[in-house]
Formats: sequence, structure tokens, C-alpha cells
Amino acid sequence: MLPYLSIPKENILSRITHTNTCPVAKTQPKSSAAKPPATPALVRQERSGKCRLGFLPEEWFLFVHPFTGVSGPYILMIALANYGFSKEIIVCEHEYYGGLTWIVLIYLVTTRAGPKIGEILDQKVDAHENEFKKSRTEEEAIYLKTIENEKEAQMQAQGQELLMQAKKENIAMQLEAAYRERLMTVYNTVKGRMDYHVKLYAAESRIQQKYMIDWILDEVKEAITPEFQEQVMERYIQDLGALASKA
Amino acid sequence: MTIGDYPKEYDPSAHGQYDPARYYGKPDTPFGDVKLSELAAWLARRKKTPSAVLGACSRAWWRWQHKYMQPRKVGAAPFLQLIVGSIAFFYVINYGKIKHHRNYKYH
Repeated sequence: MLPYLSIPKENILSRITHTNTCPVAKTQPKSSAAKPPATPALVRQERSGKCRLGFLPEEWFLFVHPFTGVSGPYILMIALANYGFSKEIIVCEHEYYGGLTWIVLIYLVTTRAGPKIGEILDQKVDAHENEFKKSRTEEEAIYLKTIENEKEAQMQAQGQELLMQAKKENIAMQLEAAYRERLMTVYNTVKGRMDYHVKLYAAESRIQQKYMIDWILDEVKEAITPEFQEQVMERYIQDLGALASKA
Repeated sequence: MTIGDYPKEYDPSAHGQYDPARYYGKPDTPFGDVKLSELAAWLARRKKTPSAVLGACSRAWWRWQHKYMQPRKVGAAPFLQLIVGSIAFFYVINYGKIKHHRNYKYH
């Protein structure tokens, strides 16, 4: 075991301390992190909130509708403007007329060129977003491909198992064949030896028989003397005579 | 709580992703639903510490950003709002000088 691995984990953690300038991270207990968050992720809106007169939020008008009716807020604005102009709270100096010019200019630009400018800018936004999306999808595709490769590798690993099994079977068959071959060898060897003994016995007995016959014949031949032959001849004649007398 | 920290009430496991436009404390009656008679009590319930005021400003800023400035397709509205707002602001701070351009003595 390596020396640094033998230090217990708690020991290492206890040695690490935050400096005063480093804010301590608010770590959440792991059990509470498991439950899903109550709110969904923030979603970017597609379009800006609706506005009237170019800049006043729609909600302000909707808020006063129950009290004033639809035209109420406009009447209120006209009344306030009337009061402001009348009391010269809104002073009609040179800047005021400059402002009116600006309002006309802005109105013309936003209504005439606005949609086209918007289109161009939207295209740029789309291009920008597509760039991000493209890199994201490309990366995703790489990971999906990696997963696919991994699955294929797993399948191939299973194939390896099959191959291994086949090899084992093959070896078992070879062992069986070797076993049977050896059994056959043993059988053949024993049979050969037994055949040898049989043949040996047969040959021995044949030779013994041959010698025995030769010996007996020799003995018999030696035993046949001329006197014995004469005796035999005489006996023949006697027997023939006996036979003849009977017939 | 120091500068740059999340609000004390924010709990990532319960609230999920941090929304800078959201108030994470105990919700009170929305300002739009407050009756005029309850307005004083409603205002009295508000926290008035500097950090609370700054937090409210920050949330308002992000609400405006999320609603008007940050959407994918933005019209002229947020820019016009900025222009109108700055006109009003500079009108107010320069009102002492503009006053001298009045055309009538009596109103």
C-alpha cells in the first residue's frame, strides 16, 4: 500500500481549513439534495412583456381597468399632462420641442424600420443560439456515440465469453479425444501382449507336439525288430486263416 | 451573510435554481392586492434595513431584466423605458434650472 493512502480521510479533511478571506461554502446535507427542487429551471422568455405607447407595461393598464374602465388610464394621463402644462410643471422650453421631435423620429424609425431591424437582429440571435446549440448537439452526439461504442464493446465482451466457452469445450473435447486415444493404446498394448502369449503358447505346444511325435515314431521304429515283424506276419496269416474258415 | 452571498432564506434543495428576481422570504400580500386602508400596515411590515432595500432594488432590476431586456426577441420597449426613465430623472434633477424657462408668471 502506498504511504499516502494509509492516512484516514477524516484526517486529511481536518487538516484543510479555510482562510479568513475564503468564504466557507454552504454545503447542503446529502439527504436533502436527493429530493427534486420545488421550482423548475428558469426559462428565458421568447418575447419582451407587452407594452402600450411603446414603454408602459400592459399590466398597469390591466390593473386600473376594474376602477377606471379601458379608457380611464389614457384620460388620467391626459388630465395629468393637462395639469402639468397648465401649471407649467412641464415647462415648454426648447428641450420640450426637441423632445417632441425625438418622439416623432423614434416613432417613425420604430414603425418603418423597426420590423426589418428586428428581423436582422433576430437572425443574429438565432445564429448565435444555433452556434451554441450546434456545439451542444455535437458534443451530445459524441457522448451518444461513446455510449453506443460502449454497448457494442459490452456485446463484444459477451461474445468473448461465448468464445471462451467454445474454447473450453474445444479443450474438453481434445482431452476426451486424448483420453480415448490412450485407452485405445492401453487396449491395443494389452491385446498385443496377450496375443503374443497366445501365439507363444501355440508355437511352444506345436513344437513340443512335433518333437513328441517324432520321438514316439522313432521309438516305435526302433521297437520294430525283424522277429517282431515275423511274429506279426504269422499272426496276420493266422487271423486271415481264421477269417477264411469262418467265411 | 456577506456581500455576494445568497439570501439567508434561499435553500437550493427546496428552491432549486437561484432566481435573482425572486423573494425567498415569507411572502406577504402582493402590492397590487393591497387595499388603500391596509397600505400603512403593509408598509410597516416591510424591512427597511439597507440590505433589504438593496435586495428589493436588485430583485426589481432582475425582474425588469428578465421581463424586458433578456428575452430572446426584444422589441424597442426596454430601450424606450430606459429613455423615458432617464428623461424623467434628469427632468427632476434639473427642475430648478428648467423652472426659469416658464412663459407665464401666473398660473
